[in-house]
This record gives sequence, structure tokens and C-alpha cells, in this order.
Amino acid sequence: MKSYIYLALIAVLSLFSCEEVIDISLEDAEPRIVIEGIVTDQPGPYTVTISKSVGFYEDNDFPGVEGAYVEISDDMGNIDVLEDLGNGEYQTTSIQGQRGVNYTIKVKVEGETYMAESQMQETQVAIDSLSIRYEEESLFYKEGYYFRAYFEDPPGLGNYYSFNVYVNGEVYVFDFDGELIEDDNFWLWDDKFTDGNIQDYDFPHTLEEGDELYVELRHLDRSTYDYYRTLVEVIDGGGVAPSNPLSNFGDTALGYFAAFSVTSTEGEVE
Amino acid sequence: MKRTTRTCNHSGFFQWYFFLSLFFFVPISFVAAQSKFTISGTIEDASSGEGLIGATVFVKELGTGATSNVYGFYSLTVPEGDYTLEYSFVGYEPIIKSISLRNDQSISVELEPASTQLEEVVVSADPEDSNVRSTQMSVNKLDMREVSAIPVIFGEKDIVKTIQLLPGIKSSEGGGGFFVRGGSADQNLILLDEAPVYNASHLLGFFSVFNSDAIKDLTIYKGHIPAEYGGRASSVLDIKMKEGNNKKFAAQGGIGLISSRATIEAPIVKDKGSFVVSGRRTYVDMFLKLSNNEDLNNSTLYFYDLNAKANYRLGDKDRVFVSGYFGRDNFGFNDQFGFDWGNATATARWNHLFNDKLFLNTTAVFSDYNYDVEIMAEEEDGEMNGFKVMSAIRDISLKEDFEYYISPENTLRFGISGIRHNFLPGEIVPQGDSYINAQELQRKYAWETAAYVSEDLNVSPSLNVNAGLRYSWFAQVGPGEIFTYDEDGDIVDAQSYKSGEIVKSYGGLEPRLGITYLLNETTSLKASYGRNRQYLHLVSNSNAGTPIDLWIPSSNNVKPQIADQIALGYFRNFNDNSYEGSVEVYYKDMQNQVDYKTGAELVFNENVESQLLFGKGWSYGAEFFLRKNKGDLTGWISYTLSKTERQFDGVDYGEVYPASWDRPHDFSIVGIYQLNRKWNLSASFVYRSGDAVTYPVGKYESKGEVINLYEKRNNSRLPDYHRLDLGATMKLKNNERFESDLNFSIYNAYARKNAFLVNFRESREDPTKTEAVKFSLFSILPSITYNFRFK
Repeated sequence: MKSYIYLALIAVLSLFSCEEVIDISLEDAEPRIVIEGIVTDQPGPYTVTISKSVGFYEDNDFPGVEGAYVEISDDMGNIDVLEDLGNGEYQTTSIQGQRGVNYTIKVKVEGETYMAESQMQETQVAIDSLSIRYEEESLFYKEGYYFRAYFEDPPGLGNYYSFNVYVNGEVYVFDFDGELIEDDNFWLWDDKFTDGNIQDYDFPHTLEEGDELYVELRHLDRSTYDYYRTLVEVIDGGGVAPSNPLSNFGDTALGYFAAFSVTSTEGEVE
Repeated sequence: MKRTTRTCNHSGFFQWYFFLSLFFFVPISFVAAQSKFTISGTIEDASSGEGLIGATVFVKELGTGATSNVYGFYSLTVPEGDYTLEYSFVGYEPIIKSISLRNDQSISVELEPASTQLEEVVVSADPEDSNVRSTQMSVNKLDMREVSAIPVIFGEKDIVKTIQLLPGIKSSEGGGGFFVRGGSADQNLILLDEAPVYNASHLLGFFSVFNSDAIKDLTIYKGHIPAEYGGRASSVLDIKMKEGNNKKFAAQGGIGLISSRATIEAPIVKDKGSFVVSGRRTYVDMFLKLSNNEDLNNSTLYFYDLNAKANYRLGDKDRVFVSGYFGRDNFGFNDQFGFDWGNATATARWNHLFNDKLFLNTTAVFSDYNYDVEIMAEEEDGEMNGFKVMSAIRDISLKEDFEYYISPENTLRFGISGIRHNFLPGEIVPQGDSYINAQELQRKYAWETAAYVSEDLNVSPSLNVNAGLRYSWFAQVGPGEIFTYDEDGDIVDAQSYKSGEIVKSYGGLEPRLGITYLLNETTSLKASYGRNRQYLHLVSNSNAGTPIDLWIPSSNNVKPQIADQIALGYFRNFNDNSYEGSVEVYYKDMQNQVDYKTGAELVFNENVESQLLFGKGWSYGAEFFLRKNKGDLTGWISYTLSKTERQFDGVDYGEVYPASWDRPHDFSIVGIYQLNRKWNLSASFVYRSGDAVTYPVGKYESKGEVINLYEKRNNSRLPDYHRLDLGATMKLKNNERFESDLNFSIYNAYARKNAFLVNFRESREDPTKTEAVKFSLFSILPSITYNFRFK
């Protein structure tokens, strides 16, 4: 609902607004450590990346941090010390993600220790199916085929999801009147308003005949969902008081550590 | 030992007696002992019969006088004798009456509006030197004639936009909110005929809900708020609707680029009662209808306002008023999206004179603000389904306000009030065969009551005092399941309350004191102190205000906001009161301020209280104001130098940060020039520091995206804001029965691209870089309005 109202607001403002790239001087903070790690219920190995922040006007080139000690453990006593692949990438050697298990990451780098944990949800929520339909040109749609994903939310509040969409094996690129924007795959959903129901999630991707779809559903824990949700807020401009996203590393490191289960389905526009 | 104690008690008693009698009692007893008589009555406009607010009656022989109240009533008690009375009001021809006072007399007068042609255009709404003499400081009044002359966006004259040109009142472009002396936007009590207006914005803040044609008078109190007002921490904007012409039928209206207005007024029974009905509607969507695009011409986008008021005199001692306001915004795209919001208020008032000194006004008020959002989608089977979200706040209140005119030197006001607040935070209703569940957030209920006493006392010819004391009490009541939260915002306790059972109550004294010391006829020094308690809080995603902002009551989790303000001022008039100048300095301390946790979920959240942070704030500043009230050229210059800061444990580890509406410099100049009988020109210019904002201090990569890195809250400022608006009014016709003019205005005359916001994103030119992008609203915007009046 918020986004609809936001859209309405933007629609009105855009009637009168204009934008212009400006040059303003910004302070540069000390480089900060960014850790991203994921464990899923799919076969490993899993990867952890460690990088650093840079100044705003520098290139979008984020140096990897090598030589860190990285360990992922679970609450069943398994401990896996990750292999340093170089360039800030670290890989698990033995641990296998499992639903219902709590995972902890521990990173020692540059004299500091960073820790976070994430719970892989016990219930598997599988993506059920996709439906594809044709839409005429209108205010909301460009002419073309659109798809919707279905799955059943288990009873009880507190289920969080995200989708990843690939069209013809690639990340989709949106075309907003000539402005090309890559799908960031932040298709987030929670069951706050739809608890226990068959969910249908509408995607805005415009497809053509013959396009092949691959859609993944991830069943997240709250901390991962909150990270994604607040990350999207930062990407959208952050509102009145922008701040860094809610991370399960707390205020120590940027980034997040997530354990989630994954299911997927495929479809084709015919 | 015993003896000493008794003496102490005794002297303590006398001190108290002295204190109380000084302020409240003594003059009554002394007055009663002398042979004095009372003159009372009403002072009204001769052409419309509207009561004049703040008109004066002056006893030449005694050098003393009285001022009419908001209903035009005055009462003056002086010793037996022969007197010359002068009734006057700025912009009206004075009336002089000789009387022989041997008994109580009732004298009502009607003042003729002065011809405003060329010789003298006077725009102050007050007696000429009242700014110097009155105990009231930190107050501004605007005359509606002035409001209509100042150029505004789309030519839509607007009192809320106009007050933002005054010192100490900060605006927000593209937002209906305003900020008074460092207070947040929810700390302003906006009253329309004593009914609170909970969301004063139309069209996302570009216009206020107040149709100028229906407004008689407005006053904004920025500090030393009189004791009869309460409930907000920073200011009171008191707006009074027109009563309607009780002499004859009159009509006026206007046709503008985006809206049209019409007002009719007429006597119900001549000189006894009258009514006024005023309406306004925008018609942007009428243009959309002309579009060939099916989606556009199926869209709606408009707002309207309807004001109505009637009054009737039931004999000499009683008069009743009923007034109402209803306004709504409507947005819609096809049958897929609908969004409408608006206020409804109703006020019933009964003036009663117990005798010629004691005036009572009884007020019953209803106020409602609500919104509806409807989102529908077409299913494969052609069925429409979706959901509707509704939210509302609804008040019912009753007030008794007494005014006791003891002597020309002493007026006592006292009263009580009670408000029942009903909050309907949100309800979701599925439409059709939707997979959205029906859901309703718990309704909340509260009582807000107050009692006050306030006295205006001329201690000596050069020392005037207003002393007031208000006691307010607030209770959140059941029914409901009340939660307690820990620091993480998780529920640690839930307790059920029955209907009417008190969940949590708060109360306290709110002293208000204003002192004026006249150095000479044209110069005074003033000092004031006031404490204000605020029991309702606005939860909003934006500083400027949106239609879906949520009012919440103080509760077991949320404490009332408390503001203490002291102010000092120097007031001086020049050139026979044609210039008035003032310098005020203030310091305001604000407790229990509200901010939001990182990632707070404020929309449709049962546990919204768990998303809040509490802290303190303070503001201080100096305000300079010079106003010219007479001559062909009128207007003012206003400059405010101020600082507003906040401190919250949950923000930047308790470091002090500037409020986003902190703007060190705020300057405005307004000029209105009567060129000749045909043309009236006007201009206003504003210059102010940009809002405090949070800019990134770097960037990093997460989930494959480039993400801005933030550090300290409000570490930077938007670029300075400045803008020039121009206006011109050309008289077309002006005879005894009919008057018309054309108004031209240019908003943002030199097309300054003021920053509405600055965004930081991946460069569109070079994806290996990031860039800062400034968004600005409204470039140069001319408009034209045709106005007419049958009189």
C-alpha cells in the first residue's frame, strides 16, 4: 500500500519536477568491512565475500579483503573453516545446509571479530506454479506477457520470502522509457496481510513469446528479510532519515549472513 | 519556637493571599465597594453585521478602555461621570459618543469600513499600537485582505502558506506542515472555529484546507499561548470562519486555473441572524477528461471544501452559532486504485451574558479525519478483487469559557474542557475473492480534559500582566489489549482492559505568564514563559506530512510531550504607528520527543509504539520583524536566526543532531503596493538555509548492488532556498453593487531550481561511478484568477 501511495505521489510530483546531476562535496568515512555470507538447503559449497567500502566519488570497485579467518558453524556441532580463494572470496569445505538448523558465522579480520547468526526455517515452503497472461497497453502495463507466482503460506504469522527471477537464464533488464535498469531481484514478501492463504505474487517483467522463466522462492528468517527490506529503502533514497540497513552483524560490520531454503519452478511463454 | 512557626505560617498565608488577590481576587472586592457602572455591547461591521474582533472602545477622559472579544462583545466598568467614548478599529471609520454614565448601559455600535481608496491602505488587523501594549508576544495576526494580496502558487490564496512568511514559522515546499520555533509539524494546534483540524493539507500539501473566502480572522501563537488553549507543544493557529452578512444578501467568488470558489451570505432575520455558505473545488481532472488516453480520462484528481456557518441572536443576552467544514481529496486511476481523505468538523456555540460583565461561551465540537485506500486488480476470470484500507481519528468535545470584565484594568478568563478521542488506526477489508485477510488494528480511546484560569491585569499604566494557569489531564482508556515492549520492540506483557477502564493517565500544570513594561507610548519590553503539554503524537514517514500519517495517543509506552518556552522581546512603533518593529529571542526545551527506529514499520502496524524512539529537543533563536501598515506601500521584512537540535539514545549513540527542519537563516520580505485605483502590485521573496539532511559518506556493495554508506544523522544541508513571487491585481469594475478584478501571479519568478531532495545513485552516464542528483519542483508558474463580488 505504501508503495502505491508513493507512486501516486511521484506521479503528481513528476508533473512539475525536474532532475539535475549536481556536484556536492561529501565527507569520506574510514573504509568499513562488508561481509556477505549465505547458507542454503541446496548442496554446498557456500561462499562468503569480504570487501570494504570506498568514498562516494570513487569508482564502483570494492576491494576484496584477503587473509581473514572465516568459520561457519551450526547448532549440531559442525564447524567449517572456510578456504580463502583470494580477492575477498571464501568457500565452505564440508558443511551442508539443513532446514531447522541455526547457523553462526565468525570472521576475524584486521584484529576485529565479527559474528552473526541466522536460522534456516524448518518448514519448506515450495513455489507451486506460475501463470502467464497477456496485458494490453495501459497506465500500469506495457503491452506484453506477464507472470504471477503461486505458493501456499503455512498458517501462523512470521513467514518471510524473496523471489529471484531469471529470464532466458539471465537477470532481466527493465526498460523505463529507454532507461535500462537491471532487475535487482528484491522481490520481497511477508505474510502480514495474507497469513495462511494461497499467495499470488504479481511480477512487472514484460515477457515475449518464447521467453523461458526460472523463478526461485527463498524462505527467509526475519533478520534476512529485515536486511533486504531496509536495503531496498536505502536504494530507494532512504526517506527522511537514511541510515544503514538492519544487519545481523549489528553495528559492527556491514552486510549480512543468511540461511534459507530454496525451491524453484520454470515456465515458458507460449 | 512555637511562636516563630505560627508567624511563619501566618506570613506564608499572607503571601499566598497577596499573590492570589493580586492576580485574581482583590480587585473584585474593591470594585464592588465603589459606585461604578458598566457599559457593554457589541462592536460590528456596519456593512455585514460581522462582529469585529479586537476593536477598541476608549474613554478619553480616563485614558482607559476595553477591547472587543472574538464575538465582538465588550464590557467596560468605570466610575460614574460624563464621558466621551471613541469606538475604533483599524480600517474602519471611528465613532465618537458622549454619554452620561449614571447607571449600567448597553451600547452597541456599527463601524463603517473606511474607504480604502488611495489615501490610506491599512492592513493590520489590530488596534494601531496593540503590538506594543498587549501582554501578548510571539503572536501574529493576518488580515484576510493582506492574505489575498500576497502572490501564491497557482494563484490559490492560502493562509497557511502566508503565515510561513512570518518570523519563527518555517515552511516546507511540497508539504503541508510548518514548524514553529523548532517544534515538529505535529506540535501545531490548528483550530477552525475551535474544532481541531488533524490534517490541514490538500493535494499532498500544496494547498491548505482553508478556503480564504470563508475565513474571517486568523491568529498564530508561537509562544506564550493563552491558558484557554492547550494540547500542542509549539503553537496554536486559531482560524475563525465568517459569520455571514446579517444586513443583506452578498455573494462572491472566483475562477482560477485549477479551482473555482463561490460564497453566498445573507440574513436569516435582518440584524438578528445570518448564514454563509462557501465552496471550492479544483478541476485538474476536468482537463484529464479531455485527454484521448483512456487511462488518463478515467482518472480522478481533485479536492473540494465546503464551509457553512449560521448565527442567530436570541434576545439581548444569547446568541448561537453553528458552523461546519467538510473537505476531501480524491485520487483514482481507473477502477484499480482509489485514494481519498479529508476532514469534517462541526462546531455549535452558545454565547450567554449573565450580566454586563460576565460572558459565557459554551462550545460543542466534532472533528473527524479519515482516509480510504482501495486497490483492485482484475483476475483471469474477469472478476475484480483487492482490498480497502481505512483509518480515522474522531473527537467529540465540550468547552465552557467564561470572561469576566472586572474593570478596565482587570479581565478574568476561566473555563473547563473535555475531549473524547477515538482512534481507528487501520482496518483492511478484502474486496471480492481476495487472498488478503480481513484485519483491524485495535481501536484506541482517550479522554483529554483541562481547567484554566487566566487574568489580564494592568498593574500600573506602564505594567501589564497576563497570568494564566492550566491544568490538563489525559487518560488512555479501554477496551483493549495493551502491550508493553522491551528495548528491541518485542512484546513482554499483554493486559486486557475493560471499556472505560484507565490504562494510563497523565496530568500536570501548565503555567503561562506574559509581562509587558511600557517604556513610553511607542516602546515596550515583554517577557513570557509558558509550559505546554501534548498528549497526541503524529507518526509519519515524512516531515512534511502525508494523508496516511497516524495520530496516536499517549499511552503506557508513549509519554506526553512537554515544551517549556521563555521569550523576551523589544517592541517599538515608529511614525505614528505606521511602522511596527519587534525583536524577540526565545529558548524552548522539549521533552519526550518522538523519532523512529532504523527500519521502523509505521504503516498498518499493531505495534507501532514499539517502532518509536524517545528523546529530547531544544531550540533557540532571534526573530526580527518590521512591518509597515499604512500608506500605498505596505508589507514586512522578517528574519529569523535559530538553531534546533535533538538528542535520542537510539540515534547516533546519543549524539546531538540537528532536526531536519533546523534552518539557521530564514528571511522573507513582502511588499504590497497600491499603484493607482486600478492596479495593486505585490511581491514576496524568501531566502532560507536548506533543510538538514543525511548525505552518504561512502558506498559499498551488497547483493550485487552499490549501496550508499551513512554515518551521522543530518550531517549535511540541502542547498540554500530562495524564491521570488510576483502578483498584480487589476480592478475591472467597482460600483455600489458589483466589484470584480483579475489577479495575475507568478510563482518562482526567476525559475530557481530549489532542491526538493538530493538523491545518490549509480551514474546514468558511467555505471562505474555514482552521482548526486537534485530533484526540484515547480519552476516558474504563472496563473490568473478572476474574482467577483456582489455586495
